[in-house]
Amino acid sequence: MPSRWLVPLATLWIVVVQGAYVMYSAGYYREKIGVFGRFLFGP
Amino acid sequence: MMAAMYILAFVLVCLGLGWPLAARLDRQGCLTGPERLSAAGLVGVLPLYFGVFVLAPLRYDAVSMWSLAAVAAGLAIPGWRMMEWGLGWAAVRKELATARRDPLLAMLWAATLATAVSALLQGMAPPNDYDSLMYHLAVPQLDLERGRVLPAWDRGLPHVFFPELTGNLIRLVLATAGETSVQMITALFGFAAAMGAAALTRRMGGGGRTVVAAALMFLACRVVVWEMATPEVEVALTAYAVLALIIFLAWRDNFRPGLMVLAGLMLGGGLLVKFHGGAVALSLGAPMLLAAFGYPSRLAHVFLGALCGVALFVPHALHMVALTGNPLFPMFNQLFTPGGVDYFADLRGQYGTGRSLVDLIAAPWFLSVAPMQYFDGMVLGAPYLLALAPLAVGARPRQGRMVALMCAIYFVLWFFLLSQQVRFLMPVIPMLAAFSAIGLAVVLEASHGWGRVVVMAVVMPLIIAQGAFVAIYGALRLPPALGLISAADYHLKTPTLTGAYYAPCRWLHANLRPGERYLSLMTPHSYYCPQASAQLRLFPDEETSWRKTGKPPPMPRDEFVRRFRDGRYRWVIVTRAAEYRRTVSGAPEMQPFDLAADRLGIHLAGILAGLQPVTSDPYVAVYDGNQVLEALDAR
Repeated sequence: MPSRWLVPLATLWIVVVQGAYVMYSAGYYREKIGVFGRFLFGP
Repeated sequence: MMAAMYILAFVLVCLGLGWPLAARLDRQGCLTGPERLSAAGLVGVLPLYFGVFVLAPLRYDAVSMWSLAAVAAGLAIPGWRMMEWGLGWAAVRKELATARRDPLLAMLWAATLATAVSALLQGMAPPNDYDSLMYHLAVPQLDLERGRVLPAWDRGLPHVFFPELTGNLIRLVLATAGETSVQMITALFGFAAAMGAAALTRRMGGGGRTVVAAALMFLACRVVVWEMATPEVEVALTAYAVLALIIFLAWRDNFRPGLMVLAGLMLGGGLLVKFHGGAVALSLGAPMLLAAFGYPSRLAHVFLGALCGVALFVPHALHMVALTGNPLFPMFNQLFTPGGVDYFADLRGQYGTGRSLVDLIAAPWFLSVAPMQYFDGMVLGAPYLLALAPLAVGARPRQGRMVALMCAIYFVLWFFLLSQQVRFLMPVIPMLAAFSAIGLAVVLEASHGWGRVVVMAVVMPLIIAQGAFVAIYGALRLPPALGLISAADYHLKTPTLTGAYYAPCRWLHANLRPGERYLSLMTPHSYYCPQASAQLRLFPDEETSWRKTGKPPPMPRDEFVRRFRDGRYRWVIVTRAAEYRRTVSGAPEMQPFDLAADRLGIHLAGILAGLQPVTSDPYVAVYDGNQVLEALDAR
């Protein structure tokens, strides 16, 4: 892999994985942390 | 303090027992100091396992186990004299000096040591995980109360016949040091596995910071943090798996037969910990055969290693043959017993998105980002292994293909043949941690200026999220471990799968006189309750039926009443409700337990509804056995 592509592709990959995890966790933590969770992630 | 002293002595005895053999098999010094130290410890627990295996069926109590410990300590002395203490101390001083000049390395070391020591201390907390309460601890406690290790048929649980390397270590510690030290043993295996992750990273070309980061990434994985302070067995299997891989990689550099024997012992040790060690052996067997292909002498080494590994398992297999006719009981039961029952058929379909090739490819994604939905919970924590391990491709790590091949084969075996519980992937987590650390390092090295700031900014949430998981376990378990809160308070406030039943079990201990028995329809029968005086769901004459059909025979009401009267049960303890957490949101739901669906419970459900329990918690209730018998007779 050309090294100039490594950093942007790696960054994009990490963001995609985290984004999916956060979207999933939103539902999970909304229930776990009650009012604060609903404030953060919506009702 | 006594628990810590005991654990230190335990480590020294294991190292002393294992060092001479490890050194003999690695005469040329192909292994590094940490590799040899870890291998020695893992070899050193084997004599303890076999000691308990031979001694405990004859006599299992404090006297017999302390005698075994004393003999083991005596046998460890030559090993202590052989160990290169000076070299070890010099390496520590050198690393300390390097860390003084490198703040990032110092921070990584501090985080790694804090995670490791915290996990060790958390082991002193009262046990509260489901499998441990059900059998990892309950069965050794049963043996201790009976004074001998005997087959625990009364549980009606196939799990109690699994290989028992860690089970026998638990027996040794339970009878000598007591409950406080038992769970700390798992942390020691965790240390060996973390050293393995670090050593593997070094072999793959990682530098100082990367090596320590790999150990930290392994230790910080949520399932590792959790299990290191429990009697669960995956951590020990992981230590054997990563050491077997490392020793194989060392063999691949210079093809010394002793190393393959040592690798075989690691694989055999893993198999003695858990049947999944067989999958580990198959996963590593393929790279081994690939490396030996076309070279008869190397193939002979592999064969010799395999023979040594299998030899470790033979005593357990013979014991199982004598008990059940199946050397691998309770696995592959249909193969060895005509018409034999498949005890785990129900479990196979419980987890995962499916078993197609698309599911296979998508599984790493779903088990990392949506674990509560399809798998066995938030096992990995933040998805840093998925985010970082693939980046190692950019570094082309040394021997990386062999490591990746082993991981891939294990993953495929796990996916198609095993129950898809993510925690069963633990044997390859050190390898994934090594790839992740190398991947992160190569990206940071390739980035400059703002690019590096951006990389750090996107990685930081992963670090913070995983740090929070690590901290939460410490916050939960350190206060009871250090005596800051009582065991009763801890069990009241700390969630576990279906409850630990601590208070009702303590009540039974206090209210059951010597010679009295009680009927337990708890699911599962908790370690905290009296064991030997309990009549569980399976009566002694029903063992054969359970072994052949997987369930006891029907129990007509008249027969149940007769058995109840003959049993003179002082108390009856039953499950009332259980927490269910495999929901999309992960929020726990209390679900009532249907006693009427139980073979014995059906005769009690109506009666107990009209009786007042003598004590209860949200999960179980205890009733007066005399009142229950009166009500049974009155119907």
